[in-house]
Amino acid sequence: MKDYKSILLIFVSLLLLTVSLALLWTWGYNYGIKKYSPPTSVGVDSLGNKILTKDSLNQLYINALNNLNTLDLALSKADSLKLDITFKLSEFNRLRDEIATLLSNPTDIEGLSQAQQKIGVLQSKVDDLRKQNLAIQKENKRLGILLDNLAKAGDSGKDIIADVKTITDQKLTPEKPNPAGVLIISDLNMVGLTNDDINLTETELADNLNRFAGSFLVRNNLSQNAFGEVMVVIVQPNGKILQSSSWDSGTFETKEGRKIYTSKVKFDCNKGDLKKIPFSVSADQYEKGNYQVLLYQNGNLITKFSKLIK
Amino acid sequence: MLTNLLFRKISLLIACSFFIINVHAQTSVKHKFRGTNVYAGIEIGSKGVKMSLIEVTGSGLKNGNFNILKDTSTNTDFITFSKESFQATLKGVTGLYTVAKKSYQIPSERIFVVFSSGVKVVSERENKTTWLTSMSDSFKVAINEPDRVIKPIEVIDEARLSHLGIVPESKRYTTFLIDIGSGNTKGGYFPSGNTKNFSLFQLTWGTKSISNATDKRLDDDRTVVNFNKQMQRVLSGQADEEITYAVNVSGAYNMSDNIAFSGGIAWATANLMYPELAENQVVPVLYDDVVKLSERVYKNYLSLSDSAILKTIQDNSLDKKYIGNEIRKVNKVFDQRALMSGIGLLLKIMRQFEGVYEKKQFYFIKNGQVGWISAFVNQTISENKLSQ
Repeated sequence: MKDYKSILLIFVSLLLLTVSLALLWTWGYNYGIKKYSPPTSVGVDSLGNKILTKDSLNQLYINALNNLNTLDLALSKADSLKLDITFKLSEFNRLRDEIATLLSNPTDIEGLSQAQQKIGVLQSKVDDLRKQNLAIQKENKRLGILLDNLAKAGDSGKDIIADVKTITDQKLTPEKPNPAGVLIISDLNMVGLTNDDINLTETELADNLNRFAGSFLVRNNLSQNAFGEVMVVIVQPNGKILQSSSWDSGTFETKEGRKIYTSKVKFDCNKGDLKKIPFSVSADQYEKGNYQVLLYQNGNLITKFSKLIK
Repeated sequence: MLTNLLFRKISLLIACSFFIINVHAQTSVKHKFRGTNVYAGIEIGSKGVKMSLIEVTGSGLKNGNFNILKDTSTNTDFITFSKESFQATLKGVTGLYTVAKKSYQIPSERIFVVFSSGVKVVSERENKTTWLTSMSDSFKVAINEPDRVIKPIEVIDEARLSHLGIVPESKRYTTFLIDIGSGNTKGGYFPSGNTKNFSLFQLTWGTKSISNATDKRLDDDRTVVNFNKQMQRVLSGQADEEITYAVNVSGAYNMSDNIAFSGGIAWATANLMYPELAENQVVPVLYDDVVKLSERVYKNYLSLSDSAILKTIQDNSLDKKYIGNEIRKVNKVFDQRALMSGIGLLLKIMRQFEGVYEKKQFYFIKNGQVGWISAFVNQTISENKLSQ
């Protein structure tokens, strides 16, 4: 026990000694650099400092200009706000020219400090405008979709607003037009079934399970009849995709790469109709655990559901 | 002392577990091969002798569902009709028969041996039908079964049985099955909603014949670029005329929703295009995917190596070792030019069914060569029941 304490003390002492030496060496090095560095002319040294200041200002200036470039979208999409933005952009252009003139003379210290102030003003204005731009873009999209739906749908106002909310959320991210804009798919459900010689009854027990039966709702808000195709992907508790038959399963492309589907479901839906589409999948045996059902349309995940089998 | 005792107990536990696992594995294998639903089919083909051990499960005979327990072959080149090839074929067929009977304990009445339709056609064309009789006689002597006779199977029977064995009942009357062989292509469909009336489809072109015809046109320039150019000319010439005519005459376009392809090239293409489905015996296929693969084979063949394909698979739940083995097998059987020829022929036939307004669903069957066996078994059992 005593040995342990003395070893610890020696170790701490050595550590402190090493730290002291390191500090001493750092101080000596800095002192030596200052004292023994080759002599430079005052003009170059001072110019060097100015150039550094100028470089950092240049960087701020370029950043502000880059942010300004992203506002082009606001200019083209802003509609009624276009005049206001045009005015603001011309003001920014004037500020930019002034700063560029000030930065062109690196020896003028006063000019540089002025430039720094102006860049600050430019930056804050650009930030404000960018926030405004984002808000306008979002509002434009929401209003555009609302108008489209009002033109297409003959449904109640409440339903349209609910649908628009869903579509808006999804439309902000995908690159391609969302298929949900054509046919609204919802209410995915799946149960396990067992066959007791006469009837099919619902079960959650893996040992009794004969097949899965599922369904989803399709609503056609278009002004014409439509048909669609969705991929049903059932992920087993072990992470593998459930495949009932090689003839029914295949692969399809998604944004995350190629995936295996359990079955492909084709359907048609008349305009204005709300239709329940059933699907059924069977396998040789079923594992206990959570089954994830995923519905994909045109490579996009539309909805999902999970089913526990005991 | 305590540690020593603990160590001994753990060792004993491990040994017991290992023994139990081993015994369980052995019994499960034996059960699989000794089951009453296990059959062997031996086919003496143009290139060699093939044996497939199949297990028919549940309603398998009715629906064409079966498990392939073992699939093996030996190259003997019987259709060269030489003394050597005769001996090699006899040795092959006898050896495989013995393996089925003794190693897998399948009784002789559940082992079926036939000559393929290709052998029959060539033997008739070259007046060598006596070689088939000699082979049958030599075989019955070798296995000591005087009543055993090897019969050749007719082209239409082989195509019909393959259809019955491969295509499930639900798709039977809507599927056109095409088997692309090395020297010819055959297939057909049931046009009248019953299994008696079968419409046969035949082409004198196969993967090897396309490749051979291309080789003849190469002259001194044996580059892949020239091979591709000449192959396109072969496919656009006589082959194109024959394919277009045969498909039109068959009437399959109007009568079929599904076009299923079997044969070596279908197996190879399916594995290269969809390695994720390597374990599936049937794979749904898109025409555009085959076009893309065709370009890849020609322009970027190295991207089809097992290592390159495995890198593209992101799903960790898949058995990458198995997939790698399947891709290696494909690359062993088909080189770049063989793949180009086979896919070229495939596309030429598929193009006939790729309509602008009506799209057919294409399928590639991987183990088509054993499909006829299950149907043959089914047919033989039914005939035996009727005669009793």
